[in-house]
Amino acid sequence: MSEVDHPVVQEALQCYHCGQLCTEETLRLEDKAFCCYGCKTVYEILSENNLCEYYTLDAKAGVQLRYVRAENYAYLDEAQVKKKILSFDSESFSRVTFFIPAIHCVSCIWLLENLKKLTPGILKSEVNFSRKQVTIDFNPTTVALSNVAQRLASVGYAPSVSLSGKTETNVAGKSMITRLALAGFCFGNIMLFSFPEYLGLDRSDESLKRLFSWLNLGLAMPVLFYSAQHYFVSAGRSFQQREINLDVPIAVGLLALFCRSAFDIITGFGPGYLDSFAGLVFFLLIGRWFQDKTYESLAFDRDFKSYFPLAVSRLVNGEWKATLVFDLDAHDVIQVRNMEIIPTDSMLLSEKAYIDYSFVTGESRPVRVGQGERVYAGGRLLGQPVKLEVQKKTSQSHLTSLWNNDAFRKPEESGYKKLIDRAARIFTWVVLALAVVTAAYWYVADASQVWLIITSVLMVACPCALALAAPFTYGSMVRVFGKNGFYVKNADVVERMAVIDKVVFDKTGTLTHGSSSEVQFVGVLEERERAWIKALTYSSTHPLSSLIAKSLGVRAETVFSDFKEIPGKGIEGTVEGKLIRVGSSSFVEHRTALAAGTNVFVSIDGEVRGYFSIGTRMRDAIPTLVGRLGRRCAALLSGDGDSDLNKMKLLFPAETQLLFNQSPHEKLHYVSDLQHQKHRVMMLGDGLNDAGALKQSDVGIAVTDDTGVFTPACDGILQGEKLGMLDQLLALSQSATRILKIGFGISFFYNVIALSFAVTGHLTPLVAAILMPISSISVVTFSTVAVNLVASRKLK
Amino acid sequence: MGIIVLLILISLTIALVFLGIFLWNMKSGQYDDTYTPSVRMLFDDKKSDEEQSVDTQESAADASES
Repeated sequence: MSEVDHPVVQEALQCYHCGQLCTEETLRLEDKAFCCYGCKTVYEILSENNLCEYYTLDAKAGVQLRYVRAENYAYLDEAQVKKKILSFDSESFSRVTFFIPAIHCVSCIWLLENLKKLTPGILKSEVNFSRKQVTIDFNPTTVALSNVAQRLASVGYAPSVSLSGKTETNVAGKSMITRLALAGFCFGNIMLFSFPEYLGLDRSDESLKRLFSWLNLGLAMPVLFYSAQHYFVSAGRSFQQREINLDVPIAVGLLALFCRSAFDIITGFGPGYLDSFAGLVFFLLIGRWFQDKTYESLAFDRDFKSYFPLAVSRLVNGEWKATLVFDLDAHDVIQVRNMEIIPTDSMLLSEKAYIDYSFVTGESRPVRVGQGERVYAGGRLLGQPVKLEVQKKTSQSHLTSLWNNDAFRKPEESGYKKLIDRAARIFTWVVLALAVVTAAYWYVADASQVWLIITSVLMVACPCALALAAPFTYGSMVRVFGKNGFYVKNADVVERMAVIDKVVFDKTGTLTHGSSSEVQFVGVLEERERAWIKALTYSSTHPLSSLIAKSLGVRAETVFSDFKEIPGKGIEGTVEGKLIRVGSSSFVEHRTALAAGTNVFVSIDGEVRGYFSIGTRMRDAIPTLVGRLGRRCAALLSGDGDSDLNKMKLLFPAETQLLFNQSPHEKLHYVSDLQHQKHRVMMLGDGLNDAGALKQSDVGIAVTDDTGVFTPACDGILQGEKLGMLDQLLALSQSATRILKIGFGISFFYNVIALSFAVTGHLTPLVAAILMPISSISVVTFSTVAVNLVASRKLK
Repeated sequence: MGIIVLLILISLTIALVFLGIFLWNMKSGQYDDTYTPSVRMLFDDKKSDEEQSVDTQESAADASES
């Protein structure tokens, strides 16, 4: 490392590995700068193995390692775990698929596919970029599974392991595409065979006509029995539940089309409407496919289990052994290290520990726990490793009790009648009434025509365009959202967002930055003194100390003597004959009352020099966002103490409720109370402590700075820096609903035209073959274009 | 007349063969990931042992550039 003589604030260098600015410290190797040891180590590993091409492929290749905790993957070698994770296992060949949230660019693909150069024993590795997965073939006799995972983690691609099942390919999506492909194939061929009919065949070609008709009938069979299967199943189910949904008129229409055509062809009466039939199914399936496309790499349904470590070291016969968390029993002794999550309610055996319960309660300030005291599951240990005695099995812990709440048991769609279903109900009754009236009229006028007219009415009433309007409107909106850093679970969420009238915020991690705190020094310190304080605070494991050390952008190389840490008070040490104390106001003998908040005082040789004020940093866009949301801001629910109350009072309008010290259950109840007052509630939160409220709310949005990690079960994931756009997103979803209603209008308009043909008995196959695709295509075009237009105008 | 029937049957058969191939591709997972292969084919696979010296030079040059 080269020497920098003066600890002057250096020009912020970019880390060669991760491209971030080196704010805290700068490490050097050759002529390159690194922001942390992690980044430097990765560079060393790569350069040793001649893999530096990694840095040339993409500008922002490296994954930042500063905040990544080291994980122990030893548990992966347990036979039980291996069986669950490996997709193939034999003596000399195993295959495993890891989910790696860090995959983000071309360089990632390149490095991960060159793993075999990095680790002997790896035979082949293949990346699936859209799923953020890597499939690795390796030889288990040369390299253990845990080593593979360790290796991935060492170059910045820590796999996120879950035991909930092997990472499988999307089977449902595949069968969807098979259905679509088959329908498309049959539709195309049926159209080919129908064309001669429309263009006019001579009487002499009667036999050819019949051949075409029969071929069409054959081609329509797989469409009816395989591709369109879903609509019949769904219609049948809706009959059972006595709730008419859109699939009922569709199924009726399809059946009418097919039966009428089959009848016409078999009796030789005419060519039938099979081209319209197959085309309808094809278009409908395109709509479904469009709607079903989701964000494969995001998980919207994670429960508490994904917050816990999979394994923990347990004392077995005097030895530490990796054990699965869900195998822990009461009275087991376990060891938890720095930054690890406490897996279950336990008792502290070590002398003391600092636990950060921010995941559970939202309170970000660490709690000090003494020997023999209770430690709750979900807390994160800061500092020295500790020993714990397990009190309860993980499944019975304090934290998991939240998941036994009713909000987690009730089915997804809670009482909200979808717009499309309401439209479908009206539509079905109107069509039925119309069919009866026409039937009555024709029964009087010309009884022989009744059956033909009724089938015609049912056929054209098939609400194909109606069924396409919703998927294409909301589906396009979901894509627009996705491009802007807001990922929703499915298209229904957009619809529910449109009716939101109350927004509830969580504080820590949502309104404020989750990880980085704002540390400000109030007072005067010389550069030299800053270095002393950095050195002093660096040696302490207290969380506040490390925050302060981080914030001081100087090099700490001063040697000090007489270092003392006085629990609950502060730290002291002597540098160049001067006694430096850092700690609470009583510790440095400071006697001024100060505003609420966390303050750490500094004194040098008994003279108070000032204090570090440590507060959470508000996201930049929040104040303006709150202004624009106005009365819709219902409440702020924070698990924290009320030290920020005054700050928040300034921020929010007077009618917004500011509630602090809220437990996860209280948050949930607050949301459900609002709902009882007939409000549609959107909840924004980030941690496990919000999980209940997110689930209970009409739309629960998880705010996160890294979409790869730690989002509780939710309806949508919003990137932290995009939070300021929330009001625009709400407005867009309202526009989407308006567009959908216009789409309905267009579709009804076509239905009326088609029905006028049908009731008068003029619906020839040619008219049907022209009208049906035109209505579908115009609705789809309108929805897609309108959504994108509105989006580009509103998101300028 | 008869020839039309024959041609139609042939064209339908060919179409069915293509459908079969598509479904088979689908099943074997060729459409699972449509992005990665497009990137993968552009990687130079030149990292064999005898070319390593060339490479280190290159990466040194790259490093000095950046």
